Amino acid sequence: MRRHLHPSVRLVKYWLGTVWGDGHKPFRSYHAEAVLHGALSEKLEYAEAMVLFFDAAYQALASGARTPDPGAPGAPGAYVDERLEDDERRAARQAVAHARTAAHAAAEQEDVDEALDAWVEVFGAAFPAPSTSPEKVAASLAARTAGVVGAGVRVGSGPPGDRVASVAGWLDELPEQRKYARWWEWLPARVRALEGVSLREDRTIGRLGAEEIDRIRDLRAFVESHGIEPEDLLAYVAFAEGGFGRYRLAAIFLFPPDIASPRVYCLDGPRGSAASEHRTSEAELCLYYKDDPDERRWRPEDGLRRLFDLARRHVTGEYLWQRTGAWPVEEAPHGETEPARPDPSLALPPLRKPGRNEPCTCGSGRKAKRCCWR
Amino acid sequence: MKEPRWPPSRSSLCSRRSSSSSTTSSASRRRRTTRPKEVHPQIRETLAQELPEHLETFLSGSYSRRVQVVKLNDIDIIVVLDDPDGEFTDSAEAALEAIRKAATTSELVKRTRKRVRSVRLTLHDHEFTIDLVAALEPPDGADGLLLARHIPEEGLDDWTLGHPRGQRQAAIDKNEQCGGIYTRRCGW
Repeated sequence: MRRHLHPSVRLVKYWLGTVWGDGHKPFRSYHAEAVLHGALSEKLEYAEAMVLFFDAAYQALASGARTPDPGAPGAPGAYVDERLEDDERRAARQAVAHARTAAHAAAEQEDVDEALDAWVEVFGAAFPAPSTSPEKVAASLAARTAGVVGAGVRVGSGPPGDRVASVAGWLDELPEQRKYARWWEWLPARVRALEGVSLREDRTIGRLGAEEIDRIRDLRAFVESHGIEPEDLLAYVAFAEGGFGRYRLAAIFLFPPDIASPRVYCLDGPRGSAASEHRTSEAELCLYYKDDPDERRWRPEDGLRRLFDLARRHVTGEYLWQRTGAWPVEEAPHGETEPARPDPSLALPPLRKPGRNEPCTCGSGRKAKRCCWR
Repeated sequence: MKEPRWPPSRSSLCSRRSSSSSTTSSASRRRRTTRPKEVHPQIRETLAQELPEHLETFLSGSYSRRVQVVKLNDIDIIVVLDDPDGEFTDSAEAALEAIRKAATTSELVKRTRKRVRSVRLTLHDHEFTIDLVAALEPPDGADGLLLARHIPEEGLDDWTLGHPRGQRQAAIDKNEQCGGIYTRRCGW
């Protein structure tokens, strides 16, 4: 926690000011101070103090117990509670619960960068800005993003709907051409979680640099149509191999993966409807169906490897469809439909590196040692 | 604990006044006092001199605890008044009016406006405002202070019990208990 946000009362007020709008604060400023006053009883690290505050704030909202005025201990009728309607109290409790969970997770981080990312979940995208002044918050963001982002910061505009709402809201407020730029620079822990062991275990996956993005026509068309530069894009490449030969696959992350799904492209082979019905553009694969059951969904914690496994299975399915006219695996319906029923048999195989002599996960039918392993 | 900063020593106030009243214009004098901590002592000195019922003033709110996280908006000053005849007890507005009249004599003050509990001073050359909160000692010697409440549209012109002194002391005590992580040293 940066020095300019000390002491604890300032941190609490910063939280009120950045994450909450004026009309939605669960606590009046002095009420929050009183909650903190009741929670602290000894010298602690600031991270621990914030965990205690969120615990106490949650209890205060959950139990409905009134908060006494620290200035008049024991005095009858001396309370500092904000008068909240039931639904306001419920919404506030829910949001404080999210902040509490995030604060607990953040306080457990030992790595400084990861801890900072985790506290961003609590205090908003601009943390640790020295104040809630929009100019200073923007300056802080600009400093953290190497001058790429410097305006349009969300400050105090309503209750967060979930734990990433402040980040999502911040993205909403950005000018169009800045929306997709370099989010990974201020959330490096999420990038590490995304890459996880995938880059180590699957050597066919690599991160694309700006020059490579510029050379790939589908990705170049994307950055040009969105008014951003190649170096602003977080993109990975991997290969799919099978009877069709070797195709390059690319995944781009416009937003943190827990906010929006990545876009996945097949850069080689037939394009558009000649490839299959399951493409959203010439090269972009239609990997997601809104009513997919959980076992078919890709989640950020699954990592890049599983995402590319999904894509490999998809292009293998396309190849078979091109040869036989039949889609070989389950087929998600198009348009407005009923939710698909859960079917465990549709689940992706467990993430495990195949044995040398086992069939390759790319669907080629060859042994792994003669396919992707090589 | 460090000694309270208020009231400042008479000599420091005199030296400030004498240095600024020599040959410079009133505008340049105002520009010299740009820092909040130089402004509020002058307002309080004006009240001490111009308000006969003045008993005591002290800082309150986030400025006094040095915990504001946004650009300074206002400084809250509690103005404790003497009320031997019960005039103010009968009418919070009378107390606010007396404070307003005294404050307007300060050359720093550009505009005044009565609010529910205070008189808000808009200052020359400063973006922040000063809220002078009218207060009376409770008649029965109870803890706390009576704070003005003037809401004419609701027919309210009375006093309610508050604890600004206790709140400030509670912050100081908690800070000592927690080894300085709670708040900053409170100003007076």
